[in-house]
Amino acid sequence: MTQAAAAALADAMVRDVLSTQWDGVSALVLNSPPGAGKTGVAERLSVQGLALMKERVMVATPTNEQAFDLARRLGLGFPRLTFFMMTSRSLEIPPDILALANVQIVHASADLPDGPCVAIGNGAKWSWLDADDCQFDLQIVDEAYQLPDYRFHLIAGLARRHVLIGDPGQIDPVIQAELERWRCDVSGPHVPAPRALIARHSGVRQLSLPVSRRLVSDTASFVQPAFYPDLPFVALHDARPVRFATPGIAPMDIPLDAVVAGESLVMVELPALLAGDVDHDLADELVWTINRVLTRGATIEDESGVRPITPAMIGVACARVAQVNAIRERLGAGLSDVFVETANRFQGLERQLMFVQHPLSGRADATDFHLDSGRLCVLLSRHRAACWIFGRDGISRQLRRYAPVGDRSLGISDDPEFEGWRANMELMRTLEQRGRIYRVPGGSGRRTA
Amino acid sequence: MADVVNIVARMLALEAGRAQRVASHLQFNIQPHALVICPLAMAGEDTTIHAVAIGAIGAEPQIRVVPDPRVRDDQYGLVRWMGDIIEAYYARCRANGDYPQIWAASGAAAGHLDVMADRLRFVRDNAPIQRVGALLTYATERAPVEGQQALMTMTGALSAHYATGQQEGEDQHLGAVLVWLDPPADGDTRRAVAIAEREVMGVKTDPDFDRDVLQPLVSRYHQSLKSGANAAQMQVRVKAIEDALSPIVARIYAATQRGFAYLIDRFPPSGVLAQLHAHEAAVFESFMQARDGGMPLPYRDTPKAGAFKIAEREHAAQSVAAGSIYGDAMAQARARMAGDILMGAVRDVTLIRVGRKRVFRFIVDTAQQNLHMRARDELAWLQDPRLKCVIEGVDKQGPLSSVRLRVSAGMNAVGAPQDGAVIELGPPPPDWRALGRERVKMASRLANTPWTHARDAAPPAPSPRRRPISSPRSRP
Repeated sequence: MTQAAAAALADAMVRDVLSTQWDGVSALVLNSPPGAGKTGVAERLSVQGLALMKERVMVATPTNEQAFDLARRLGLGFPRLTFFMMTSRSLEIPPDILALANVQIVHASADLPDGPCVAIGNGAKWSWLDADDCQFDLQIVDEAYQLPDYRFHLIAGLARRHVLIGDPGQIDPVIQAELERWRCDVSGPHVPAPRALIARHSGVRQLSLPVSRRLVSDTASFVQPAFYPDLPFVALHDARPVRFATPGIAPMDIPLDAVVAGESLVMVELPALLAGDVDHDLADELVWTINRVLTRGATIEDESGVRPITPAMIGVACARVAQVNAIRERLGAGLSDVFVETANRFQGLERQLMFVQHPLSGRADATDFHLDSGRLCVLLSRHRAACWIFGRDGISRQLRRYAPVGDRSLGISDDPEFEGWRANMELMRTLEQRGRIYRVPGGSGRRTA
Repeated sequence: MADVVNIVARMLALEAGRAQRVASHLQFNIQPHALVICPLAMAGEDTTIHAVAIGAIGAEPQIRVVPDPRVRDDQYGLVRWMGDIIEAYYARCRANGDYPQIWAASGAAAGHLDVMADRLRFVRDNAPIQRVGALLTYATERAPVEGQQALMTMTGALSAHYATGQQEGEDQHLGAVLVWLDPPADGDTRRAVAIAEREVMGVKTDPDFDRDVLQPLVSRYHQSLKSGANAAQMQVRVKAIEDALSPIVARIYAATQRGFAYLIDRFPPSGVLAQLHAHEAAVFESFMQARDGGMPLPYRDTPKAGAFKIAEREHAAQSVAAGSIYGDAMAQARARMAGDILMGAVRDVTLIRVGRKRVFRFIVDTAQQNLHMRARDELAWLQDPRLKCVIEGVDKQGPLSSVRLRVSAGMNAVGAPQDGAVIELGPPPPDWRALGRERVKMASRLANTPWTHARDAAPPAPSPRRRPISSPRSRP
């Protein structure tokens, strides 16, 4: 598919989504692959509701940070419209939000105008809103797969129509409670809101965004079959070429040069080592490689033209906080703009280049946390140009050793642990088949030190 | 991150051949009037009780055995007998504004009571049996809730306070755990554990015993029934089964009672116990009032009931996690290792005035490798949690993390931290009344079920609007 055809496909779907509101569709579940413009759709729905349909629109996000992000985008993108942020009185508001003249911070239903408006808040704030009756024409739930159904229940009655937008491949809601009681309930209170809604009302309209604007074709060819077998999508961009001004001679330069050759997803495999939650040698290696990318004068060619890669364009994602800290402590002042976070915190974010640690690297076991397909999917879908997966030798053997025995229940066809295992196996098999695993001796970090 | 404290304690226990303490304070209330219930099931019969021993802490057990739990009338006789004891116990607790507490030997025994509760409360046309199921349901529905005090297991209780030198799964055998707590004089703990493990401590009898002893006795009982044996002959058959099973439940009961010796008066109470006691009493009263009002106890929740239950479970988990670190040294150590407590040296304490408001800021330097701290998180001073701070940022320089904080509350009552002082900041103490407020809000919000959450309601019909000629401006 040409880029123009993909763009036309993406635009047509956005028009279809906007059109559902004129058709008065009572609920829409909009599934989206990574980087397909979920938040952009939420913005357009909000603005359409406010400016054209003259409606009252509420937007619910799972976290305050996501609410700030959306308010920021709406405030900056539509300076002639006024938006409202519904927050608790004690919440610290970031200064840049406070500085937006067209974003007003409000705390209660009476603070909102009687007429058309767009109000943004996190799900918890909406559930505590001082009014319980139907206040809004449209409710948009952004990142809806991160909202457990019982939290959706608490806000659903506030609006007449609902649009639930989310990525079904990402990490499920984190619920700190024992859930055995609802294990056999396909629409239980712990289930992601869109899945529970469809389980109760199978006729709810469902649409899917068909084009990823973030991922390039090469990455999409890995991510789609492994994590979205039921959600076909294509990439808008065939590639965003990465080049180096200086040729490389070290073993670690081979996986770097593979990206120049068009491989947007490669694995850097270090010698086997049982490292537990913190792999110091891998952290050394990873940070050395980031430095190497910069010292070799990397550039990227994307929609903005050819630009040098800067630390702010690089991200590092790990499964565990302890490893995140191990990476951070190795980044000197020159790399302080490199964004390092866990997979959970990286949801919704992107960088031009990503360095990720495979969740199963250096482990003796394979728990459901490490096998979670959502976590791996987030790690492998944050990059716009290239992603290097760092891991220890032996991940495939480990997966074969820990094949899940299956923990399904009658009536529930989902088996997250098996799905995670299957996605991991599929990824490793494809990486191996396509010659994307680059075995390096390690020690680059120590040699430099 | 794995619980390093427990791993180290297990290694020490293995080295010493003796269990090691892993708690500085008692982790739950032990009700002096608690009821110990030790059920035993027939192999293949997961929804009945073959024999049971019941008694208060320190008391001799009352034991009841049925010749064959598959015979419904016999089984219901045992259940009614058990139910009378439980009913009277619950009534005493309720009259005193207190809550009942049931102790089982192990997770398997607690699980069996759970199955019994589910089965009995759905028995048709037998109100007394349903009532026993409903009463047991109070304890079994509370069991998965963090911090609950209603259904306790002795293996779980001992594991919360002591680490043995064996694997976690092996701690489910109460007899083995007791050996680690009181090892033999010859120092051969492993051998003693192997011997202890030959003794049944779960809810099922030993397969060899079933084959060689129990099955022949039960068969003879049925043969006598069929052949029309007289009352005296039947009594002999029944007594033979009682004599075979009674010692087994008596040993499980005795082991459970022995476990209390390692808990009662061994630890000072943890800081959260008073709150948990009051909360449990309130939950119990609410449960009993619902039974008085004839409210059903469904097996499957409606979305509304599910919302209330999951909210309660989440609140309990968060409250217990936050509350346990106050006044419990081991819980603090775990939280420090997990990165939930910030420990470090204070520097750069500054005071600025913004209008009439004084704003204190300071920095805490720490070398903690694992730190779960983000901007805008609120922390409290462990020594006096009235002092609260908000994180403004976390900077990393090599192995050091510098956490920038602003005092948000308690400045006048507690005072600002001093430069150079070592400080510990953690999650603020839980607000135990928050759940009550949340339930009130949920009740009001969920009074009317929206169509999205009504299983039998169709979505409202679409109400199309006339479209404008132009579409909204779209940004690139």
